[in-house]
Amino acid sequence: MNDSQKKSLVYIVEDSIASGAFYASQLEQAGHECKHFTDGYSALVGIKEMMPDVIVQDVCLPDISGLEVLQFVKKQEKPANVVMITSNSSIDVAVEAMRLGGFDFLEKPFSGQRLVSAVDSALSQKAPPAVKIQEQKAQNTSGFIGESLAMQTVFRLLDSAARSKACVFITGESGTGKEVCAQTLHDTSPRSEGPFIAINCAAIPGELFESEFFGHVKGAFSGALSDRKGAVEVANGGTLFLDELCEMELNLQAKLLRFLQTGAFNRVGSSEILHSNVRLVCATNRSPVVEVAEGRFREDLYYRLNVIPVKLPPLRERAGDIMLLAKQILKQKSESNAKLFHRFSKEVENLFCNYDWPGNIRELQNVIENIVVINEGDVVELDLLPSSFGVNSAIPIKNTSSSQSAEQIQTNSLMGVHDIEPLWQVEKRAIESAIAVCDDNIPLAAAYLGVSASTIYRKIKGWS
Amino acid sequence: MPIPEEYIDNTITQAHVLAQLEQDVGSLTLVRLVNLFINELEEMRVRLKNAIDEQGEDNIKDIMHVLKNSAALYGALTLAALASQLHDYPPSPLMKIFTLLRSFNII
Repeated sequence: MNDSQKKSLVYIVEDSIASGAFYASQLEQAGHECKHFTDGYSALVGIKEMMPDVIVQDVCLPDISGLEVLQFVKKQEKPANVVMITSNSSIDVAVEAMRLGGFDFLEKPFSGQRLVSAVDSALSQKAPPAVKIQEQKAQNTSGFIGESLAMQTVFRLLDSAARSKACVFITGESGTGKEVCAQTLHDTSPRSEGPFIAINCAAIPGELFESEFFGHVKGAFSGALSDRKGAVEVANGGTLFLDELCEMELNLQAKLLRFLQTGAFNRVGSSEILHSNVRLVCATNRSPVVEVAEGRFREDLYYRLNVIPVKLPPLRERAGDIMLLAKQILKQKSESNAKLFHRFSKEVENLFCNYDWPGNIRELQNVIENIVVINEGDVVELDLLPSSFGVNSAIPIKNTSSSQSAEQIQTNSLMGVHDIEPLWQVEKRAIESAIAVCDDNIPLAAAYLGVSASTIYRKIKGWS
Repeated sequence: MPIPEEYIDNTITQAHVLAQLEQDVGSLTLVRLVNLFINELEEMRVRLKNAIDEQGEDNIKDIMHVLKNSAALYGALTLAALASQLHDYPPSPLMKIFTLLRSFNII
């Protein structure tokens, strides 16, 4: 085998010859073989003839959308990982690309080093064969379960996200399982062999955060008796989970942003530039949109991290999952405490299904563990429930609105075609309402709508 | 070998960007890349002229899209900023600007 056969093949899809040649030179210097396509259709032909190892492509192409090329690639038998190139104004397109299975995105302008690092990462994280994915899905269901529509949507999103390197931002009330979700994402990704490092941003004192995050060298500050790797370095090749992200101080947010943009960092007290290949998964129980609007969280960092947003529903909105989870937790707790409990009485099931669970899955776990540890028996009856059960709930018994929902669905299904409103009008109305509610503050409205302000301006321009 | 300072017009392109590029890809490749960039600039100039003649706002936007990125990559930051500004400008005022520039024989 000669050298050229060993090189990985990278397709560059970029309408500018000078820019494409620039990227190709950087990648060739790093040992890759490159082929440059200046439009989408010729790239599709090239991909059909031979699937490369990695595709680097601009989202804006002269003939077809970069997203169409991405969708074409993902439909092929052995799809390559796709790194998207975006500009500031097309960040929402980049988000869409990640949802469609894009591996990573580079925001212009970027350094040659960042390009090489993204391609290397895409090469090392090529999607595992379908059989392995199926096995991983089976394992997934054992730790993170749910049959409700809301959870099926979450599973589908995680399934797509697992195959990319894109940042995932998990939101949800306290106790909804954000860390379990992050761990599942790691376990089902090609990074599962690498480390999963979880950091609770609220639990680390501000003055120690940088050192915990990036590490330090001996003598960097009093008490730094030896060199120490930070979480970013330890998580190299794996996943870094940042819980309670909105607690992070603004100056550290700037450093995290720099790391995300360049993949580079330095330990406290050292000027040596280090690199780490990590996949970031973040979580918060606050509303990141509100945090951005009120200036406590950087907008640029939010858009970088919020590539694949995953919203975990509260347990009260997962009615069908309550007993599914309860039975699984009962089985686990009984086994770990050497007890014989194996089912719930009908009365307990009714009560559980009609309770609003303000503490979500964590509360459900605590209630069941309390029952199992303190009592003996094989069926969980009403009198075994802890006396504290339900005291924190504002609405102990839910008002079921299923009949109303069914009526609504029926009304919607009977709607005639003439009643269907064009999507652009629906979007226009939503945007105009948001702007009105925000007292004509377009950036604030954009934040609540989950898009950048430039998108709103562009839409408004389009209507006129 | 680094490019001598006297050969670089810093009003057009930034020396440090080219120096970094040279360090990354070597002198010979740098020369080839810069030639490609100059050729592309010439091509864009011709396309821009045609687009203005045809009042093709979309074409102008496409050209600005290419220019703003490639100019930034090659350190032509003033051109990149101008192209970026024109790319993001609303179409109608953009056409007025071009018409005005043409009336003064600037382009």
